[in-house]
Amino acid sequence: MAQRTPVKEQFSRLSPASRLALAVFRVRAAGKPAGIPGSLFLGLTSRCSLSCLHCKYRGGAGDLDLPYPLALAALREAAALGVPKAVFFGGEPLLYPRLAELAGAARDLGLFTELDTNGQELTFARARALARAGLSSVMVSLHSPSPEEHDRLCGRGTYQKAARALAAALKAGLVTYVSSCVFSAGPGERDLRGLLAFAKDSGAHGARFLPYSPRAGASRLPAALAAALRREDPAGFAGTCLARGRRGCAAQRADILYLGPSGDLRACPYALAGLGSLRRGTLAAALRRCGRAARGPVRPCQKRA
Amino acid sequence: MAGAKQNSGISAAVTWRKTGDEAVILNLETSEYYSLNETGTFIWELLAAGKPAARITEALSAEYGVTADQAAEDLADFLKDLSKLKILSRETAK
Repeated sequence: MAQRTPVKEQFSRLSPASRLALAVFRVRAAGKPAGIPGSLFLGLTSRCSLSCLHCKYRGGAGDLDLPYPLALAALREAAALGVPKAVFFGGEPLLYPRLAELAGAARDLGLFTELDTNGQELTFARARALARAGLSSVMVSLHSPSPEEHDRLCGRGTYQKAARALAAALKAGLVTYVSSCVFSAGPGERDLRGLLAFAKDSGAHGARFLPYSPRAGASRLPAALAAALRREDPAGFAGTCLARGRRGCAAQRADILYLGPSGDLRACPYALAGLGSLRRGTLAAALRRCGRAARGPVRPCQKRA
Repeated sequence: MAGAKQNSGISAAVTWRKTGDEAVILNLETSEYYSLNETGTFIWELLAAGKPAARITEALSAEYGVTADQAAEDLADFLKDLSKLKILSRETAK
C-alpha cells in the first residue's frame, strides 16, 4: 500500500509546508497520465518593471493582464487533467494584483506552484506572504555571476535586488532556483561555471538555464548548452529545456503548455506557433494540437522574427 | 497541510496531505515520503482522526465488504508497515 521515495538532502532545509508540497508534486508528477504536460505556464501579465535587452516584451507589449476568471479556469482544468505544476510567469508576475489569491487557489487544487520572477519586487515580507498563501517555489532571474554584466542586461542595481530576492525566498522556506538566460555555450561557459557556483553558494536548490538565440530559425545553442551542463554539472543541479537523456526540448515533448495574458495558448512562452485560445477552447484541445505541432522541426527558444 | 490528533499514535515528525484519492505522507526527520492508495488513505484518515483500531476495523469491513477478521488482519499488517517506517510512534493496534 505504501511507496517509499527519498528526497534529496538539500531539500531538508525547506519549510515543512514546502517539503510536503514538493513530495506531493513528485507523487503527482510520477503518476501523471501520458500526454499530459508536467507544467502549465500562466503568463499573468505582459507588464514588467524592467526592460531587459533580451526580453521579448521589451519595446512594449501593452499593459495586458490575464483575466482572473480565465486564470482560475485554466488552473481548474489543468488540475483535472492531471497537470502537477503551475508556473506564474510574465512579464513580471509579482505585478499581477491577485497573485496570492491565485497561488491559494492552485494550492487548494493540489498544484505545485512556481513563481518565475525578476526578483525586483520580492522582499522577505512578500515571499513569506506568498508562501503562506500557498506558493511552493520561486525561480529568480540572474543572468550572470557578474553584477556588472547582469546590470548591463537588465538595468542598474537589478543584480543586487535579484540576489536579495533569492535570499528572501530561501528565508521564507520556499523551494528556490536561479534562472539564467545563456547566450552562448562556448565563450559563455565561464559564466555557466560562475552561475552554477553562485547558485550553489547562495543555497538555492537548483538552477535552470534557458538558451537564448536572437536569430529566428534553428539554433545549435540548446544542444550545446545541454552538452556543457553534462560536463560542468554531472550531478544534475541545473536543468535546461533539453532534459538529460531525452529527445527534444520540453515544448517539443509537449511537457509544457503556456497560456498568455491574452488567452493564447502555445507550447512554451517562446514558441512561435499558436495552439488556440482559452477564450474559445480548452486546454485539452490545445494539447491535442500540441502533440501534432511538436513533431515539427522548429525550436521554440527564439526571439520573434 | 493536514496534521494528526495527538492520540493517533502518528509520529510528530510526520505531515501529510490528501491529493485526489491518495494521501502523501512525509517524514520530516528522514525526508522520506510515501503515497497511499485508496484503501491505505481510508485507513490513514481514520487513524489521523484518532479513531481506535476497533472503529477502524469496523469501518473497513463496512466500506469494503470484507469480514471483520479480514479487516482486522489488513489493518494490523498496515500498522506494522507504518511502525517499521517510523511513521507510528507507538502501537495503535490494541
